[in-house]
Order: sequence, then structure tokens, then C-alpha cells
Amino acid sequence: MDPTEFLCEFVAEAADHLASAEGHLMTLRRQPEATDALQACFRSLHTVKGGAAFLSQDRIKHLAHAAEQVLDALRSGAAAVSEDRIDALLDATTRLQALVQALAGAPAVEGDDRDLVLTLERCLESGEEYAPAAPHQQTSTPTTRRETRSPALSPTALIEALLTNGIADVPALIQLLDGLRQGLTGADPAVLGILARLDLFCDQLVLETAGEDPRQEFAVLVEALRTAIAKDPGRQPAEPIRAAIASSGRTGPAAAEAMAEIADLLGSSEAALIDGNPGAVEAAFRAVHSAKGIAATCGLTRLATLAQAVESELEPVRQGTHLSPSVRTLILASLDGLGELVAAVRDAGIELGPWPAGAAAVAGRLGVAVDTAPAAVADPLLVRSLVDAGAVAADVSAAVHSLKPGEDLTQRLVKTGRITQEQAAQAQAKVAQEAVRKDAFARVSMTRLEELVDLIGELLITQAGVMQHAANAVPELRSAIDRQGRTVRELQAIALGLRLVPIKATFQKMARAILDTARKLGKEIDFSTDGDDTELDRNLAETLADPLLHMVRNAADHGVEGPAERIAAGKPAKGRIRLTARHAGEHIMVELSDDGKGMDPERLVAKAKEKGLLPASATPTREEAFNLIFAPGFSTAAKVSEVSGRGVGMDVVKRNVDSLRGRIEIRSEPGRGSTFILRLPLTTAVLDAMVLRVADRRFLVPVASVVEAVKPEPGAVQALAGHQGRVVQSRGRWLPVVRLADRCGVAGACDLPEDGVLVVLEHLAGRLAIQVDEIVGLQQAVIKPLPPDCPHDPGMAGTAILGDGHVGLILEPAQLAEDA
Amino acid sequence: MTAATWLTFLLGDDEYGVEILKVREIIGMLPITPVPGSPPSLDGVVNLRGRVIPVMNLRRRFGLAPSEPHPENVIIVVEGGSKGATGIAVDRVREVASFADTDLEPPPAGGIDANCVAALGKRDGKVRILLDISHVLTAAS
Repeated sequence: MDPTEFLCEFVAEAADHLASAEGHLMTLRRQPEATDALQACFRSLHTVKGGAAFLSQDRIKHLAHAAEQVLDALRSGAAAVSEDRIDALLDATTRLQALVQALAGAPAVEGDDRDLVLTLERCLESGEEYAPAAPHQQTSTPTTRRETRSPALSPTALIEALLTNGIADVPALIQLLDGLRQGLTGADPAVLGILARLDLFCDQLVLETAGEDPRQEFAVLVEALRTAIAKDPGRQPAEPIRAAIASSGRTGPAAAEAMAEIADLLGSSEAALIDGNPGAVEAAFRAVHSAKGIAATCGLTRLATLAQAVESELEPVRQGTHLSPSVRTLILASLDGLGELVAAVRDAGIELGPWPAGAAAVAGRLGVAVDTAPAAVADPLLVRSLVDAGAVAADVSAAVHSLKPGEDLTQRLVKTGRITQEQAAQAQAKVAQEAVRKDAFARVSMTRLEELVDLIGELLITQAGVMQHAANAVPELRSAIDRQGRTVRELQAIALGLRLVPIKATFQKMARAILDTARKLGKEIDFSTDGDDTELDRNLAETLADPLLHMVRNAADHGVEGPAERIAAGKPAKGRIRLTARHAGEHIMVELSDDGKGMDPERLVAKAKEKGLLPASATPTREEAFNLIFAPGFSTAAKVSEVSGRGVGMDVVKRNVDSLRGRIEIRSEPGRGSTFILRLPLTTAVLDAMVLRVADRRFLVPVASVVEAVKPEPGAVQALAGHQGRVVQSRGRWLPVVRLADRCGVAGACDLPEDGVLVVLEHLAGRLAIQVDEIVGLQQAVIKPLPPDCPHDPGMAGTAILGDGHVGLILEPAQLAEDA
Repeated sequence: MTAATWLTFLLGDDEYGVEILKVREIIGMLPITPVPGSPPSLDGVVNLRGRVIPVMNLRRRFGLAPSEPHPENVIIVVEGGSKGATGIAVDRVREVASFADTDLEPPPAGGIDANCVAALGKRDGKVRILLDISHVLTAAS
């Protein structure tokens, strides 16, 4: 891989990570106790930081580091999740996104990030007021715990203190743990894993959810910690440690993604090594380091310890520019070994069964102990479901190890009281459900996806050709070819489906915008969404984000009133904005509603007349009145606010939605609120088109833009006095007529309008009629842009492959009208 | 000028060459859809296995008289243009030829757009006009 490829990959990856981090932060804002979100967020920022460091992107690195520090404090319990901390993190995430986008060619971000870094640091310092939800609240002293720890004590001394302290005095225990963590920064993952487990244990003590014998559990954990610290880190973890970590192994739904992430990292560093890139060793080091971190947070002992060993092996050679073949072989074998461990974990979510052969060989070479395989084999999916249903991973591991042949794992756990009947049922239901849809994740480039779609489209066309010729010659072939055709069409549907993404990410951006707007305006707004899983085309999701963002800001700014005004109107002080999505046939409906002050059609009409956007005599319908807000130059807000008055009006929103071939419908009740309903085609890749013929050429127009098609009477098309153009009357309006043959320079087309067909098309600014020879039919066309190095008439919007394999041109009605 | 390998083709009686490393494939003539508003040297676009690529009419590009369609007419798909591939329509393909340095002469001044010619390849008493295809493509649009 060359450096630009690294950069491209980093930009794509970092953007994904930051988007998901933002989502997790929004979750934390609502549910401060969501530790999964916290962990995932930490991992995301850690990965971004690592990538930025590797590419010497210092601004990103420093800011990500500052954010990571805060997240680390939050996840370790050293600080509680609070609104200002999350806000500081959100602001940092936004800046990081801008910085990452700047790498991809977006405008550079001026200035530096000192303000944000300071805010992040300060938000940790002002740690007195812990949020009520945090378990440590009642235990914390007025000063920060960071200051009260005794840095002089060695880890060993602290462990002794831990044992002496016991579990009666929880606040003291937490302080001691904090001290230990400070002393052990950068320690072996096994040690950190046990510390995390001890933290969890403290939480349980506080919440009184600890096991039957907390003293015993505590003793085991502390002993494990002592052994782990005493041992050469990472080399020879003793059995209790493994048990301790295994029991901290919380395999949330993030685990599958985490594994995919590690596999990605390993894969890319392998590619770099094979290509012999300079810096490949550094890349491998970074990958292994990240793998170690992720494995430790997921409680994967084998992976964490092996990664640690590989990392130590790489450390001495990472700076060297020359890579000797033997070292290269060793690194490649190590990466393979780690990859095997990752693959083994993927299904069950915990480390199960014997060590994979390659990993065991590497482990042997690096002196990492390999634990023996259990006798029984368990279904990885069942194990994962049991853990998800609330079983402790260590219990499951133990049960698997001692399972008799033919004995049922679930029953065994129920019998020994490790899980409840309810949990067992839940796990089994999950197995059944998962068996149905077992999704793995892969990152695929859009270009390759598009190639796939192209080729399948071509397959359909050639298949139709085969059908036509072969079926006539050999009738027996007909049914076989018919079946083949259905398969190919199914294939096409799947390929087009690959472009779809859930609308969730787009909705998350809106949540953020509402939060920011409400904060700035001193409003309280309750934002809820529904149908987050509704899928739509990736391009569409991206293009939709802008207009939707504008509408959402509008709703928060102009729709929802301030608290005082709301109370005066007899409404709750807290406003409500709701965003929902659902499928309706080939369309997606996105609905944005608020319970704000609504719009008054009469006021809108008066305003439009005053601005000269509407003749004084006009009497628009209610619907038409609402649509006035889409007119350029129309803004009802008395004063332009910082939030939504950026010179981008609803007219831009309308234009954006039109460009996506969508429609907006408005419903509003003064005093009650407004609802905007967006109806968009599921994908921008496929167009429902009407195919038109002019001589031997064919053109396509969007069916959605066709108003009517008429065969005109002789004389219906009239020359406009004093003009070149011609016009025709349709539904009471005079429309310009464009003879497509003239416009496109086609010879041999019908000359007289009455010999052909007039197709009336609607576009943003009005209607026009185009004269063609014939309407061929309707087609679902996969839109392909015109080649970039092929200059063309702007009236041609793109191309599509027709049923016979020829290329047809897609017309842009608005452009045709402009020159009519 | 290194001694590269060239794919040679005919336009009328003249033999031209395009560097073989730039050639992706040779396809039989496909139905071409003219694109309104495009320069005259572009015949239009074709469907190359689901991809839409532009096709340049090399005769028109070089100001030669058009010829009658012939079954041996082909489209040579070359890499280049601003992105991806472009087809060039030629009368027919002739051979793959290598030229020693001694067979090559610098392009003459004048004649067809001199920048489009990389060199003249002389062998067996015949002259091939070896094209700088990326220049042929870019100068058209």
C-alpha cells in the first residue's frame, strides 16, 4: 500500500469510528450507565488516535488523546459520566470529524484545538459533582480522587493495603484501586483486565449485586492481581488470572465488530509487510498494539497475552528501516497466529476450545503458555447467547470444560444455579434467531459494489438475448433459461441491497443538531426517533443529511417555542421533536414532527404577497400556502437567528429533495405543531423511467416527472408570434414545446407534432412538453453517469442501459425547459 | 523513447500504433449512442459490459474523411482520459510490433497534431505513426 492509500483508508475508518463514537456519546447522555457504549467509544477514539499518530497527523492525535483521557477516566470510574463531560467529548468529536474530512480535501480547519483540549482537561479537574447515576457518588470525597491517592506506595504495598482493607470500607477500597491504576499505567493487559474486574466488583459491592461470597471473590481477585504483577508481564499468566479475566469478559454486541476491527488491522499490516513498504513493521506494531487493547477490553486472555508477546518481539525492530527476511517471516507468522485467535473468538465471543494450531506454534515460539483444550465441544453460538443472556463467561467456560458427553450445556448451567430458567430460554431463543440471520461484517468499497451492480445488469441483458435466440431454436431450454433469469434478477436485488444502510447514523446527526440548537437557544427539547433500522441507499443517506439537518434546526429554532411561551400556551415546558422513518413500497418516508407553534396559512399568504412572491389577487389552497415556505426569498422568522438563518432557506431544502426525486408534504396546525413528510425513492441508483423514441434513438425521463402524454390534434401546437418557439395548451396552461429531434440533432424523426407524441413533463419551475415519435414503455433503469471526460448538453442527466444493451440517455426536464 | 511494444491499426491506408500497455482490450463495433453537445471527435458512448464509456472517432479526431462501416471495424479500449477507459474506433487492427531504437524517428513537424505523435516507427520500408494516446484523448475534450 502506498501512503495515500493508508491515508484514504484512515479517513474512511476514522470517519466511521467518529460517527459511531458520536452515537455512543449520545447514548451516554441519555443513559450514563451504558458501559458498553463507553467502552466502544473509547476504542473508537483510541483507534483514531493510533491511526493519526502513525500518519503524523498531530492535531488529530492530540485532540483524540485528550478525549481518550477523559473516556478512560470515565470508564475506569475515576470520573463520573456527566453532561458537561459528554458535551466536551461531543465537541471534540465534531472537531475531529472536521479535521479528518480536511484530510480528504474538505476545507482546512482554521486555528488550533487548544480550547477543546483545555475544556477536556478542565472537565476532568472539576470532578466534585458526580452525576447521581454513578455508583461511586456517595463514596467520593470533595476533592478529586486523583489528588488523594498516595503516589509513594508501590503496587505491592498497595496490594497488601487492599488485603488489609478488605471489602467493608468500599470508599477506601476504590481509592486504593485508583492508586494502583496510576502505578500500573501501561501494564500488561492481564493486569489491567484484573483491575477492571476489581472495579466491576466494587460497583457490585456498592449496588449490592455482588455474588454469594464477595470476600472469597475479592481474595481470588487480589491474589490473581498479585501473581500477575509478580510474573514477567504477558509471558506466563497463571491460571487464576485467566479465570479472573474470563469472568470479566463481557461480550456485548460490540464483540463481533471488535473482532472484525482487529482482523482488519492485522490484514492491512500483513499487506504492508508483503508489499515490503517502509514503515510496515511500525504498522504491524500499531496493529498488534491496538489488537492487544481491544482484546483486553473484551476480556480475551489468549489474544491479549499473545499480542503482548508479539508486541515485545516487535519493539526492538520497529524503528529499523531494514527488515530481515527472518524477522519478516516471524512477524507474518505472528500475525497469522493472532488472526487465528480472532477467527476462533468470532463465533462464541469468548475464547473456547483448543488453541488454533498456528497460534499455538507462535505462542510456543514466544514462550506464551498454551492452556489445554476442554474435552467437550460447545456450540459457539450457544455460548455467546448464554453470555449475552447474563451468564458469567467464566461459569460457562468451566461448565464447558467439565461437560460430560451428551450432557446439555444449558441444562447444566440451570441445574447448578448459574443461570435462571428464564435466561436459558432467552439464550435458546437467541440461538434460534441468530441461526436465521447470522450477519458478519465486511468493509467493501463502493466502486466494487457498483461494478458488481453493473455486471449483474449486463448479465440480465445478455440473458434476455440468450432467451430470445435459444428459446426459439430449442424450446426445451425455455424453462431453464427462465429460472436462470429469475436467479439473476434476485442477484441484482441483493446487489442493489448491498448499497443500503440503516438511517440510524443520519438520525444521530439530527439528535446532535437538536441538542446544540436547544443548548444555544435555552430551550428544552425532547427528541425521539422511530424506525432507526429503516434502510436506504448510502448515497441517499448522505445527501439527505443536509436538507434534513436544516429542517430539524428549523423545527428546534422556529417550531418549538421557549419554555415560558410554551407554559403560557398551556403546553409542557419541554418541547418535543420526533423523527421517524418507514418504508412504503419503493419509497422511504421520513417524518419530522414537532409540537411547537405551527404555521398559520393566512400569515404565510400575507407574507408572500407582501414580498411580491404571490399576486395580491391569489387565493391559494391550504396546501399551496404551506408550500410557499419553499419559495426562494421566503423566510417567516422575524429576525434571522444564528442557528437557522444562514442564508440557506427552505428553497434549498426543496431543491435538494427534488434532486433526490423526492417530495415534501407539510401539515401544520397553528399552536399545535408542524409535520414535514418526506417521501424519497429507496435508492438513487435506480430510476423508474419512461422510454421515449426519436427516430432510432431512445431517451428516458423519470416517470415521476411525467404529467401526461397526448397525441395532439393538427394545429394544436402553435408558433408563438415573434418567437422561434412553439407552444401547446395542456390542462389550461400554455406550455413550451421542445422537439427532441431538434434539440438533440437526430435526423429522420417525425416532423409534424400530430404524427408523434407530446409528453408533458413537470419540473421545479414549471412544465414543458417534449415532442417525440413514440413512447416505447416503462423501465426500471440503473442510472449511470455520463463519462466525466465526455462534455455534453446539460439537458442530458445521465445514461442507462436499455433492455437490448444499447445506451439510452436520461433527460433532465428542468434543463430542457431552460433553453426552450 | 524506449523501444516499447505497439498495437498497430489502420485508418484508411495509414498505419498507426498505440502502446500495448495502454490497451485494455479490443472489442467488435458496438451500437454507439451519440451524446448531444459533445465534441465532434466523440462518436458517443457505448455499453462495455455494464459500464458506459466514451468512444472517440479517430478519423474525425485527425480530420480524415469518414469511411463506410466495415465488419472489421473495431473499438480499441485504452486506459486514460480523465478517469477509467475510453474506446477509440479504428478501421481495423493490424499487428503487434516492436521497434528497435534504430527504427524510431522523432515525430515530424506539422502533419496531424504533432503533439499526438510519439515517434515514427520505420521497418520493412513502411512508416507507422506511433501515437501518444493520452495526448490524443485529452486534447479532444
